[in-house]
Amino acid sequence: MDELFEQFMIEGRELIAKATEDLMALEADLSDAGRLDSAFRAVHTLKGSVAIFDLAPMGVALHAAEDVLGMVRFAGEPMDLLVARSLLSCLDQCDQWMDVVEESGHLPSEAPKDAVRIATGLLALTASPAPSFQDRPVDDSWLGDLLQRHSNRLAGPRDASRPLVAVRYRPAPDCFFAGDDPMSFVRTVPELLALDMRAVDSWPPLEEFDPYRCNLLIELVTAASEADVRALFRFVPDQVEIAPVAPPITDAAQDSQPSRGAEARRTIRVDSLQIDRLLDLVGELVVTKNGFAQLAAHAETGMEPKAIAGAIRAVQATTDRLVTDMHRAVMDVRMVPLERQFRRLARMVRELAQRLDRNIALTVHGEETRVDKAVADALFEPLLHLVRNAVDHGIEPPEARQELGKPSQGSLALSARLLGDQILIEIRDDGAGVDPARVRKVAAERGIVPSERLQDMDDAGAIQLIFAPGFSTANAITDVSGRGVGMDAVKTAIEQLGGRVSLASRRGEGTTVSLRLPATAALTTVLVVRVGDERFAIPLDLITETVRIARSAILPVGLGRAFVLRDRTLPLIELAALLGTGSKSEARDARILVVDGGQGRVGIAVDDFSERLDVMLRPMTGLLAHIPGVSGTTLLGDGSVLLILDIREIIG
Amino acid sequence: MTVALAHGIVRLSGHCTAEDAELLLKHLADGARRVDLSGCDHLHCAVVQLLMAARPAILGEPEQFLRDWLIPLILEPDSP
Repeated sequence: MDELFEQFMIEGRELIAKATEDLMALEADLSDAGRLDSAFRAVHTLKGSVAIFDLAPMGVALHAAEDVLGMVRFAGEPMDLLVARSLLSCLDQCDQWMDVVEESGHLPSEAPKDAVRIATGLLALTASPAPSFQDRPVDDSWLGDLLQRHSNRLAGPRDASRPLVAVRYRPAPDCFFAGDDPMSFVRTVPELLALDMRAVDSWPPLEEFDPYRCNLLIELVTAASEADVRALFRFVPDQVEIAPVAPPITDAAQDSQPSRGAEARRTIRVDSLQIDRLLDLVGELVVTKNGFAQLAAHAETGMEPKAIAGAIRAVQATTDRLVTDMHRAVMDVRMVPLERQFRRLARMVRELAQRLDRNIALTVHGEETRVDKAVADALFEPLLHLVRNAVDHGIEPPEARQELGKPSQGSLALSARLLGDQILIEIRDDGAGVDPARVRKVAAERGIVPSERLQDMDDAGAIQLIFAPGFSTANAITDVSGRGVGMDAVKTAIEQLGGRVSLASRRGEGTTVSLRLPATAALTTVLVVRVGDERFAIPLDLITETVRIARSAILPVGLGRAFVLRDRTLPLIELAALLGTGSKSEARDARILVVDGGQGRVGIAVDDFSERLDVMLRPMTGLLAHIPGVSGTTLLGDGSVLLILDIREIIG
Repeated sequence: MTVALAHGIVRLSGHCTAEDAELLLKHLADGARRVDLSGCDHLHCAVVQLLMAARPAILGEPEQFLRDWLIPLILEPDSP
């Protein structure tokens, strides 16, 4: 994927988000002229950027959206609710197209049809289109053609970070009578990079030539700012189209196709301050590293070992601090706002509400909350499932709500906030709520928990059972939710991210699902253990304690073995046997890790405990990704690789 | 007087206006095939489009904008 395209993926999404935000604000306050202007600008800029790529259908839809916004703006009247909604769905469609383009490199085959449908739908909404609108071709191909023709000139050496502006100027045929000289506009364009002029209607023979009828089409590209260019052409706004062009223009930008099938790479925007900070830290690290040369020199001159050890400790302490700071700085770089996920969810809610005939007011809070990119990406699916559930099973249809004495518009709130180093995401609806009696009944029917335990549970506990595997309370399986992935899938996904999920609900009043997640993918502390000649690491948070007992205290129980720890009998498993390494320890004492495997505590016998380490857990990739029982690897200081065991999977 | 005809060469000089296009058209239609732009400061759009349509030979070296941008387009109007 080339740079220009990556830039477009980021900026395009931001522009869609901006316009969507503005339009949603307009939905609430139809006469907010500031929001209208802002939405217009965002759509206008987006349309311009889309034109450089092979995304004509998206250009058509956006062009119609821009025209509609322009007309509303021109009329100076409040926005129409229906128009705002149609514009929102146009933007939703564009957002979806961006997703497809990012993954496959091109628009879906049905995009042209959808684009025409959206464009005609939008245009039909505006009662009296301005005359200039109808002659204007809904086509931005001129921009691409212009850039293509002049690609050599535009690719020359210049400040690549500066955007270009393209202008298409079609002077009115009678403009000379109005005293206009289009040439005087053109010659005053600063930093002109390319200029094209041609006849609109082919030139007649000189005998029939009308010297007072302007028959020119002028196209140009300039490095001047868009504001300057607009100021220059301010007297002829109806005759020019001004489009920003994302830099830089190269041949590669024109014909390179993003690789297909490859995993879509995600690009993130990084504040340059963060890069500067990293650079500072690297600088400090270099200085510290040079300290080692000095230490070596001291050692060679026969300095007291104790004094050297002290000096080494000092350098180590500095390195320690720097590495911690660097780790934090890199983690900060990986932090992205949840905005994109929330925006996609908002889009889904609007679509679903339409499809299922629900009237829903969606409020979103805390979309600026930043989480690790990996967490943000992995969160979308579970959140989508929860939102679908809320719309499909939670919020009742408007008539049903009225019968119940509720406002016909349901409310769905999506919020995120930081709590220490955790984030809390809540999905709250004011729908039907979860019926504890029904949950108990289904749980009993499907044997999720024994019925005697069910009776001990209070209502708040009982409704948590919907997270149990194999549970689904919806009677009808709609195509919205209930595709066989229930709340247990949500729970699993959140737990894989190191989070927890809980649900609170009142019958008839609504449901709140809360997700608590670590905001960062932090360092994991592991305990290194030895089995035979091999070393493995086990995440420390799973280990409740380590004990040493005499082998004679291990008792055979049935086929397995067990030991007694503080008056409780725990099953004992040999790690060597689990891993199939086969070696049998002859040591007099057994060293045992007590771990909580989710179904009570289990003892795991190893040959030896070794050090504790803070490691960056790297997930396994490629062929190794599916090795059972291993959750990742980490590099040790001596360059060897340590496998980190997924104990729950091994004993499960 | 910014349009002058001498020895079959139309000489444009100074700041050419829309009115000059009419006179230039007359000379070109009468068979003048060469236009001298060396004394030219600015060509009105009407003059530029006439030159593009008639495609006469261009003589002289006018000021920078004309030389760098307009003359290439007048000489090769279809050359994008």
